[in-house]
Amino acid sequence: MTSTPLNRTGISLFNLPYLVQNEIYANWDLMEIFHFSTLSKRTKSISKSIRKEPFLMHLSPFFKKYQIELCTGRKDENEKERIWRLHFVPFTGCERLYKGNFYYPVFLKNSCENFVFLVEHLKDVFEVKFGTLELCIGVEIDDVKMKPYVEWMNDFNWESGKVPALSVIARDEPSLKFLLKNLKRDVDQMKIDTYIRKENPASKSGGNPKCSTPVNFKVDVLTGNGEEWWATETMKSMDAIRMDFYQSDLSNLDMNQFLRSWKEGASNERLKEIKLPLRERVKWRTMLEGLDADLRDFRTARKIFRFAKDNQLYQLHGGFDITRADGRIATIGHELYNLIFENQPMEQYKIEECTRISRVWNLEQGDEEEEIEDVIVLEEADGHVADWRKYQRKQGRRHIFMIVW
Amino acid sequence: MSSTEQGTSSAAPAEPTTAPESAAAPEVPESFYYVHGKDKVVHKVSAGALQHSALIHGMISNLGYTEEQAKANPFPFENIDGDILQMVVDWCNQHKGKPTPPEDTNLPKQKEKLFDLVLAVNYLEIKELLTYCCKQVAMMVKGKSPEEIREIWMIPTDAEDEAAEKEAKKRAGKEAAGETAAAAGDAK
Repeated sequence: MTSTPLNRTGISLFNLPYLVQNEIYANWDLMEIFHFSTLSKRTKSISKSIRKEPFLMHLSPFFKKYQIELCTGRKDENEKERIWRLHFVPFTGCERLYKGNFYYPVFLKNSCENFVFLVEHLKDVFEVKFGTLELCIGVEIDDVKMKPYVEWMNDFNWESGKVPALSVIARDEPSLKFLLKNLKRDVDQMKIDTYIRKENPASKSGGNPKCSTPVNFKVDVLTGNGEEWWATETMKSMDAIRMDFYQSDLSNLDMNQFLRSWKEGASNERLKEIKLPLRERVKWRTMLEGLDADLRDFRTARKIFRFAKDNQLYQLHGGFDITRADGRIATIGHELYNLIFENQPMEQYKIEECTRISRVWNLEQGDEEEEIEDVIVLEEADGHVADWRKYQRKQGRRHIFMIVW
Repeated sequence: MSSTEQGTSSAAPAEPTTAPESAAAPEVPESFYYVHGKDKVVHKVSAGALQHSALIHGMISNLGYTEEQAKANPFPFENIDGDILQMVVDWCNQHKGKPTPPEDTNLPKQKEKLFDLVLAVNYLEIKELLTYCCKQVAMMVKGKSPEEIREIWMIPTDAEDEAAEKEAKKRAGKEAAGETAAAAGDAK
């Protein structure tokens, strides 16, 4: 039996037998282990040996409510996932609000240094996998504030060698530009959403909002809103395997420039899929000029395939084939008009649009791709449905897909 | 089911004063054993209650004491404070032959007492009680800041750990030198 110290004024944990200590540690939750691990080298070493469940760690250094989220992926008896949200104290002034079952204070000043310490420490002590790194960047996150975090992202020893998932929510152009310009680490999945107000003085002074210079990192999967920041050079330099945007500011000429580069094998060799809307209606003759594109007959379903991100099987009707210098073929077309769910018939309006595309493409003089008015003939007299369909078809003429086979 | 009386380990303990547990109890009389702690106060405990302690249970099985022998030779636990042993005996009696509940709220709240209880229970190998105690000890730091945990558990800082290590090395070195000198003296 371990002897009790005579002049003891408190309980010394390390005076307890080893097995008893282990039994005590086994009762601890993540936060107790975490706090304990920060006390000394010895406690850190002990903490590492305590059996713990693995966590998925999401990082959001600029978020006010919490900066690190640890999820077990396991649900409790109420079907709720156990989550720990760590927030620096003192920091937000919202400590009272974010106290309780899911929010846990970390008694450190909120700084990049402490954030990095925390990430490294958690990675060291717990079995963690990195989830999403979310950067909410607004005017308050200027270059000076952002710089150390970007440097950390560049230098950090990411498990796969690249940032696994980076989600950027940008409310300010200069901050986004700074990030794009200075990030040097490749990203597996990158999502950029922009909510930039045009009346923002910073935006006005920023001039061209787009990042027209190449970036220094590659992205495997790029999604989000490309309207405010994306240009052909960015598109080329990011060298994404898959691009899926719900908004972009690209024109037919921009796409032509991009496709020429792809065709020549000068960029985007890894490309497999693109889905995006142009800022204008697609003019195939403009977009495909000089590419020796081959328009396929839409009346025969040429291929059954699926996009990487969903399990839906599609039939491909028509579309233009472009052949790269190395012989690789890509098909480009309208998502709305050239693609049909598997085992479904091609609707009349799709046939009409494909016929029109074919007619315009085969004209001697090729600039008749003016806007056309859809005549929606519907049994029902519901004007809203007709308006919606008109809108949908009009938008469909902006949206394109590209598949590299 | 226990009785306690003041005395030394050699003193004969008093007869049990309490009635049998239930009317439907088997005819075979229950055997009793005697334990005492640092304060020499002898506690009479039934064999059933002592089954919680793997240590005492093992001792009983190995020694094969008759009741008379047991009375004359109480098990001495000189390293356990009397009041702590009393707590242990009470717990064993309360949970004699019963399934142990998932939680025990009757454990001492005072840090030092709990600490001594943990050590005693660990020594006596009372698994269920040790589980409760460890849980209670673990919960003492629930919701506490690192510095509060350091204070509660008296966790040394890195500097203190290093100083202690240096001190231990120094002491070990001195002891080794002393042993060498003694050996040399013996050889002469």
